[in-house]
Amino acid sequence: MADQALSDVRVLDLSNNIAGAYCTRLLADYGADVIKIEPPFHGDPSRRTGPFPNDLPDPEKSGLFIHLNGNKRGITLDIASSAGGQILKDLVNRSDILVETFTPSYLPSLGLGYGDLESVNPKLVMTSITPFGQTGPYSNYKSTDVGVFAMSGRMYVHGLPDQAPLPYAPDVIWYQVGTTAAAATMGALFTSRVQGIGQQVDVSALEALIGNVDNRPLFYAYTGVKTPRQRWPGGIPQGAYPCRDGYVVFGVGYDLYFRRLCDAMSRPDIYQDPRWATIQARTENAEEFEAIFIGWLMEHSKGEVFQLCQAQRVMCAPVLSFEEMMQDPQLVARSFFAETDHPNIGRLPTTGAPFRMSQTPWQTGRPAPLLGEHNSTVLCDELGYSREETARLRAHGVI
Amino acid sequence: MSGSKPALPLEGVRVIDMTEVWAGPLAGSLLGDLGAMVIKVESFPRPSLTRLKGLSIGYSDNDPNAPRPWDRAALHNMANRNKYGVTLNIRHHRGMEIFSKLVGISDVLAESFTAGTATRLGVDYPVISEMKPDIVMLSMSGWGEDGPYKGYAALGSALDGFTGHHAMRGYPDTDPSTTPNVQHTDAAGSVAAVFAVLTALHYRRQTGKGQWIDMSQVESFLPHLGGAFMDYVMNGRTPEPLGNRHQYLAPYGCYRCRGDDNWVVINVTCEEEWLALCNVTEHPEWAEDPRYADPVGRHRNQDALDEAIQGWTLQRDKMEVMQLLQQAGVPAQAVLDDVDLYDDPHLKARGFFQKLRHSAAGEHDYPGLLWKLTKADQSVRLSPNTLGEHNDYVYGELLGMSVREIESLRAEGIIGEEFPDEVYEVT
Repeated sequence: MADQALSDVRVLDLSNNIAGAYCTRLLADYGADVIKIEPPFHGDPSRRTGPFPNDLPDPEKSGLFIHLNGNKRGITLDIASSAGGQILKDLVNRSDILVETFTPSYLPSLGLGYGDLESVNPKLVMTSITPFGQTGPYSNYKSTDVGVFAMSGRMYVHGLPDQAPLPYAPDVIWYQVGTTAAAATMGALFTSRVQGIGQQVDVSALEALIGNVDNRPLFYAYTGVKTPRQRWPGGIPQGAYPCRDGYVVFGVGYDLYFRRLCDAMSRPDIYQDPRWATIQARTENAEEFEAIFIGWLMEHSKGEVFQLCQAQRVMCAPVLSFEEMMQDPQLVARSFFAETDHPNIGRLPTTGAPFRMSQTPWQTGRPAPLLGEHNSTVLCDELGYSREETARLRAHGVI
Repeated sequence: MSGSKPALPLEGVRVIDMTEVWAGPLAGSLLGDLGAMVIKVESFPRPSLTRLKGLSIGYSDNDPNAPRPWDRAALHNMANRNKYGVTLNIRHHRGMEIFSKLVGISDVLAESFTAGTATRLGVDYPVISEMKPDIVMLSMSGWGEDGPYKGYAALGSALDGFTGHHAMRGYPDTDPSTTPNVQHTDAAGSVAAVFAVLTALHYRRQTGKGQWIDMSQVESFLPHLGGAFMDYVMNGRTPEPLGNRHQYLAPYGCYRCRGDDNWVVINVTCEEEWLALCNVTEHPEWAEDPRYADPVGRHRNQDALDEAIQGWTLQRDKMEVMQLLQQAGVPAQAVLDDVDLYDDPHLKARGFFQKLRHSAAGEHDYPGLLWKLTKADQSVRLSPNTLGEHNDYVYGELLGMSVREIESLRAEGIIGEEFPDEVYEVT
């Protein structure tokens, strides 16, 4: 196995659900040793969320859990018990990073807040991911991914003017927050390694979104004009347009790109027409242009449109299904899709590396752990508990 | 920096940022937030897309005709804090000479060209690693650096389509043509890029080895659709747009509130929250209604249930609904618009927005950092740079060029602080 970039980094994943698990999955896939700590008996809530093969719920077959927790080892631990709290501290003592997603008051109530853990390991990076952050009036508010998105300002502008604002696809906001947390965690790891100073990283999902998924708030600050929900914020053609066998997304506001598009259509006369000569004129006469444009599109497949337009350097792409993506020449040529071999569900394709490093590979090795799969290895081999002691802990429901 | 706080994580790390538009520039800002010295090298005299004249630019004072419009664009300035800004025409041999000196004193180079462009410009990894063998170079194209789509160009909206996300975020029972464009792969790519660079720097600190990162923005986003992808490979199911609804849970929606275009999101995720909702809305009869007796019934009858809930929310302000429901332990959030964001008491209490003074755009509140490192100084050190703002500092102080040399670069149009009219006026 080749050297991986983070192979000297030890991580504890005490998180629930998606954001924390995706954060630590990124660390694990680039080499970190990640121990996922789950509550005994039930395990992580994502084990109870689908998808399941044939829609038959089974905590050891959750597609979501398997996607999020590959390359990690798994133990169970009741951190609310005194023995469990001590084991967590023992683990913290030999780790670089702890990732958690509890409401801000929970770990301090167990004597396991940042202050408590800092005294165990002053170099610890403790990444705390919550919907609204560790402080402030909403810090204890409950929220789904949609709720955080609603407050970010982006949902208000996403959708059609006379209808309700729309969320993004399920869960993508949590993945966004998890990726943000992974970046912040690596930043704090530098301070820990270089200066020997650990700290808590307070990741508010809301703030991770406002500063990134939406570039509109500053528009309001600059112009005093609130951005409405609208279909064509940047000139036409914009959006997904139908063609013979599907849809192609365009975002061609500027004159230069519009001219290239007309060339791709072999219709240079269009941009010479005063109705469409400028970005303002095109917005005013959008529907007339779209009628011509859709007429052209319907004569072609999405693959043909993609090629004709890209040959003229028009920025566009077809809307693909997963089935089409798995056969897409680019993703196939780059061998993007990977595979997991899980004891309970067998071999299944998975998504692959989010980026490729020339020296230190991304690796998909170990499948997601079964509940408590590594209890003995971690407690006996690494923390020095005897077999009898682990049996005692098990009998008391600590593991 | 305050005396009691440790140095910022990336103090001493120098980054050349050649990226454009959103994903790359924001990644550069985030590395700047972490303390790196980021030098934004802007092409000249060709303006980058976000400095170009156009719609949806967000000019300060809403005036595209005031002087220096390229410095007054919210679209550009939102993603370019904490950087030193220089201009440089690297197609000119003198420009390339200077560029290679800059690379020689840097640790990271980031670019977001269409795959193949870096090679054409003479700045691909083989060339850059000759200039600086231990450099970490990040290339973040749409589809990756090799394969049949090399040379294909895209903005985030097209990649959102390619990954299938466009088709998943519409209203129920609609086709993709009614769904507006978004650029979410940019948001995803920016933070993934920072993680990638820090991962490579971590390895370099231990081994002295640099490397090349090939980040396809499509590939870095696709894992974010992992749940739906697993459902496809396990069950052959293709995701349909759900709008504000949930595959399993109900009530789960976006409800109109009192006033004009005011909305609240209410997402009930368990029995306890359902009973709390009935209680706080003073509708105990919902909990008694046989149609809503269990989660399956509530999901099956959600049209009627949503109508009843909206009957209650319509009587109330969105913030009031959020507070009432949150006090009862029900997940509910007001849909905030731009005006609400800047007024929000929580964001104010956390000091999220930061007031920055910009020499061309004036003073404004900017959205702040994406995270809080609790022992680090989180204040933005550098306002978004104006065009070529730090030419004298970077070329003079850092590279040791004389005033006369810098003036001759200006005279030859290799660097500059203003776009010539004929370049800027043509879009």
